[in-house]
Amino acid sequence: MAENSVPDAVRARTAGPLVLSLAGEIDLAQADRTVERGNELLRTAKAGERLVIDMRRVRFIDSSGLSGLLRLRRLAEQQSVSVYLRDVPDQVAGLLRLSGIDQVLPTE
Amino acid sequence: MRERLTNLLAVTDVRLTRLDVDDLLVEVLERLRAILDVDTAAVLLLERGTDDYLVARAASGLEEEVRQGVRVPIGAGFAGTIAARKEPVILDRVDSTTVANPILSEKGIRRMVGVPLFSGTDVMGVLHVGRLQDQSFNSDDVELLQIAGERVSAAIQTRQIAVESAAGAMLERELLPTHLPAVAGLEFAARYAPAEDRSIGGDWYDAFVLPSGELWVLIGDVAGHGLASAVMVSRVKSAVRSYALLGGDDAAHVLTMTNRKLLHFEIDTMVTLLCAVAKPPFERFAIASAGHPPPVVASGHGAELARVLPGPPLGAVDEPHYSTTYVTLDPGSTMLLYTDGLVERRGEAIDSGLARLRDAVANVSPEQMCRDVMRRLVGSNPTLDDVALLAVGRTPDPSVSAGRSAATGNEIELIAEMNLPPQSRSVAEARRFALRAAGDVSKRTGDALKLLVSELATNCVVHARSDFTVRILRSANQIRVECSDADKGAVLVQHPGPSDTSGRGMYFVLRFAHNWGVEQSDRRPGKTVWFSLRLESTERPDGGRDSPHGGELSA
Repeated sequence: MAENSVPDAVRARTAGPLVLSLAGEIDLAQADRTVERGNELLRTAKAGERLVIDMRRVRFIDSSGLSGLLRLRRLAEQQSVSVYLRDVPDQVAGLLRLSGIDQVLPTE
Repeated sequence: MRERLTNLLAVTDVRLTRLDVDDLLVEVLERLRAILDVDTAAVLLLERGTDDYLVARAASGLEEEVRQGVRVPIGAGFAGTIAARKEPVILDRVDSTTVANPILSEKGIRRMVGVPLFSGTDVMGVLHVGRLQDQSFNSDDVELLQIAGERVSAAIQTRQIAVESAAGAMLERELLPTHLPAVAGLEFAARYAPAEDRSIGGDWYDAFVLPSGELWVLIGDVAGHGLASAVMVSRVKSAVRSYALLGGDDAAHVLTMTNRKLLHFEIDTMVTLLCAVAKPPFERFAIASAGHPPPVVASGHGAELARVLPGPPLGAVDEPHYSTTYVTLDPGSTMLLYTDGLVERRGEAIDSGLARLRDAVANVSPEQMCRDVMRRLVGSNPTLDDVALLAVGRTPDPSVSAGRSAATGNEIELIAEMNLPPQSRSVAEARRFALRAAGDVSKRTGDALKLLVSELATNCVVHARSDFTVRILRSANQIRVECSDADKGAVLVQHPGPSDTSGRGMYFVLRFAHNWGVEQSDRRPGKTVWFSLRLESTERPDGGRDSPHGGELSA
């Protein structure tokens, strides 16, 4: 499965979902950038495809970061792309549950 | 002829000790004129600055060069070309196309030859001679001139070393205060040990009292050694004193100002500096650090490293942000400031050195502390770096019984604060600052603290768009964080639906904080949003019973 771990790089068109790998602390300073990177990936997406956001290397997220994920989900929806999270760390999972976001951004 | 030259120039070795180098140079140049049968001879030396150029230093038959302070850019004209190419040049035509300095052609010089002067492999200047007659120079002339050039270089370097060591000795006496201030209720002690090679170092300490009665103690380290570092210490020391006198009170602000001065006026300088400021009776020191290791505080409860979050060293980045950490100094306690030469060992992590220092410090008088620390950490080992120590202790108060005063019990105390600008990167700085200041807390408390500080700081950046201040307060059973900005706007708490893309920040505060609120004061223009987190029993020195309140952060 191709993993897009290089910023701005669009994954090789192999079988499997589009993967956006995030890392570090996703806050106000990183949220817009996260949406931009995801949107670049979405340009290569076809309707009915899946976008997976790999959270394994995320060390921290706050409400700005969560908003970024939800904005990205909205953009994906417009193209009929469904969004899933993968390898969600505990700190992030706790906030997703607390805010009900786990209902709209399910983990794979 | 070469023998004659060698003999004549050999004289210079003897004369060198007696003559001023300028007189010596003139004498060498006069002899050269006779031996080489030339009409002019001149020495130009390299001066480094934003642009490197040659400056006329000594001349014979061409004295106006020196009198007019002729400057030739490297690479330009005759002398500039010799310096740039690092090789001799013979000139058979002297006019504005071949020389940069009009004096040479005005003088009627027809032929010239010059050689570079070397210090090691670096060019330090140029020696050139000229003839009014149209009689060309050959390779023998070049060789003789090179021999003379070596003598001239040696003479200049010998003098520079002598000047540097005399100036260094003078500066070294100037850099460290001969008398630490006499302040009622305080004792001071200090040590300074130069590195093994005895070069002048870049470490210094300072202690002074302002007209307001406020005490400043500081310690710093300029990168590098030698006269240049000592001069830099002198400038930084003076800048800090000026800003402290004019700005007063705020150590973090003084660091910001000094950084601005260094970045603007001193190129390629890196300085670590720690300032500690207190008002009588000196029970609380406000400490700010620019890349400097934290002080050690020794009290009846043992020795601890102060939880100072260091900002970047001075001279490293534009507009860095420095936080202030408050350290309590009880009567009978001592705080030790030091430079990294004390704790750094080759091939060892700095943390090991800090731990070794903490273990070496006991709750003794400042003088005894300096003695113990030098003995245990330096001993008879050769030091690779300078070591400076400054210990400040409060004299014991017999009326206070052993143990900490009541103020450190349930009363909540400001332990650190930081001003930040309304930029998105300030949010991460606020988190890092809060975590460091809070000290040892459980993962759960740490996660909640990090999240809620992030939310409050984000609101300041996004909504207030003003500079804001984050304050960390702590008592035995809670941590309180305050964020003050310049905006009076209301704080909105929403309960957003799962797919709403905003409005979640204050909801998290509501869910995770033990308590929170918004305060407005007539004295301050904006508002303060605060929250508190209860410390779990294991995090509390008294072992509290209250269970923490709020949502779960972890799965």
